Amino acid sequence: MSEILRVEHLKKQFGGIVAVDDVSFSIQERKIIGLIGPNGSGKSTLFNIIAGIYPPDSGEVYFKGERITSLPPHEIFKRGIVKSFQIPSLFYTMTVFENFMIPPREQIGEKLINAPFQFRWAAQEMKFANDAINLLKFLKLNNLSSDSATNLSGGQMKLCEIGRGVMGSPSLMLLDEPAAGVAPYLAKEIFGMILNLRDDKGITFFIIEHRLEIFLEYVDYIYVMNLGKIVFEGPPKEVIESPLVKEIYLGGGK
Amino acid sequence: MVDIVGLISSTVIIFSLYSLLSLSLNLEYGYTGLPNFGKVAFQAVGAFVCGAFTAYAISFIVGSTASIFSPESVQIRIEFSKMNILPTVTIFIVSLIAACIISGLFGYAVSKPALKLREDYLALILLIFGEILRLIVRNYYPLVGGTHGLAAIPNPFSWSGEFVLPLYSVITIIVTLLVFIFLQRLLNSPYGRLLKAIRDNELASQVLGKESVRIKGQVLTLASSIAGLSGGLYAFYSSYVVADDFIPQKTFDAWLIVILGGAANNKGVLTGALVITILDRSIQYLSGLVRFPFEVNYLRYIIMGLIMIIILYYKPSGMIKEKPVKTPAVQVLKHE
Repeated sequence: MSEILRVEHLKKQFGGIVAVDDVSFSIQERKIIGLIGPNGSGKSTLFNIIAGIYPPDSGEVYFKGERITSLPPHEIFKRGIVKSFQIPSLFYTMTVFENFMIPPREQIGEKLINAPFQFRWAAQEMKFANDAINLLKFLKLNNLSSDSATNLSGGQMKLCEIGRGVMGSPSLMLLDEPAAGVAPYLAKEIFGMILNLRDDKGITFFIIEHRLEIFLEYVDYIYVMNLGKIVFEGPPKEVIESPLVKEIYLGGGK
Repeated sequence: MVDIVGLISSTVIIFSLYSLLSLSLNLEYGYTGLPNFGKVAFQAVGAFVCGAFTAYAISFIVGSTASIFSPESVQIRIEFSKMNILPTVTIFIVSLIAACIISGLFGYAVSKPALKLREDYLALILLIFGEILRLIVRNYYPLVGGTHGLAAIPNPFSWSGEFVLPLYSVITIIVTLLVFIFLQRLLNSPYGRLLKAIRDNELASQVLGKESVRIKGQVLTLASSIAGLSGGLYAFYSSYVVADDFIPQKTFDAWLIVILGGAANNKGVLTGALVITILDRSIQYLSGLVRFPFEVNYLRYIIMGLIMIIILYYKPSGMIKEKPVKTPAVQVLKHE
């Protein structure tokens, strides 16, 4: 098994607040890795740094051995990392199907000089359309394909965003709370699909999630963050039994 | 007796000019979400280029050394265009191409610093750019004669006598249709989808691998070219260009047309342009028939303002709604 992502001494400060404080860890390929921690512990900031949305103040990010620190988001995407957002960020004036047609790589028809000439890109477009339809079926969103993305329920939006990311054929997906605000049975369904995507497509998942009770049975390894630092790591069973984690979440008496 | 042919021809020309400018704004604002409040500046560049190029070219061919603004040069241009069909038409075509290229370059140059800004600041920067350009040209005599303007820009059909306007209207409507067809083909493609994605959520588009700033630069360049084309066609229609023709009002005419017709829908934009052209012409026609106790042209501003408010309040998506991008993929979806 090989390492896919390595983060070394990452640090990011916003004004006087240290959001990410000297964080180092690494992730193995084809795993589902969890990142938990209370609100404001720096999880989303860490994701944003990896995805290139913010540059870190110091530290390095390596992806498949290549240094990707501070590259712009589209360059990070090209290397195979896709990030989803905490608040679903679909393209809301477009249909679900159109949302799925945005990420495919190297679209011939996305070039200005090719776009007016349909014959140049039509075949590739059909291939991507078939991929999109298969994925929509897999995610059980196919009957909503032609609906506007605004008509989806909260859970469907989350699922749609994951699916849209998969259309970009990533090797690592960073999911920021993929099941937040979703009914428990649907949350289980979302995680079940993530598991299937990992097995089918070999995608590594790095997931921020709060709801441990749902999350635990799907995840291979968990990092716990508090106040910008990784304070605990281990397999899910160890994490849930750890007194430190309980204290962080429930607040221990000092 | 009303000159029916003249009325129809000039209506067609005005419709074409409105359409071109609004289609160009629709590409920027409707599809890509770029709030270009300085649209008129790029139209102005096209008009200035066509005016200056034509005047200098004719002086050069004739071998006249007089200033292009002198009455003598005006006379030379009028005579020249009546006698020399081929050179006049050639100058017309070459200057329109030059107008497209130079306006496009202006668009590209402006996009470099401006696209780093957030939408609202971008809108203001472009508005200010337009005004600065107008004021410079207004006070810089050698280009198009400062406040006096440049007269007698010869229409390519000057030789046809009374058929100038009808023939010219055919040219403008053909150019408009070609631009419309080009844009429809350009935008009903993965490229059109990409523009809408950037408009809907720029950060999400970047995370999905799109170089949004570069794409927006392309859009501003291409749309500025089209605006320059409309400016060039305007110069040959009015046969006179002056900096003060290109006030921000013209930008907002295009905005009204896009919002009225339907943003991100080129057919809607043509419909909007038709409505505004008819409104414009009717008010002008009315002012010739009835005596009003006030300046009738102000009626235009009042009515246009009212239309804007009513549309935004009751039908914010415009007369014809935005539709999903049409690519062959839609067929695949239908079979499912």
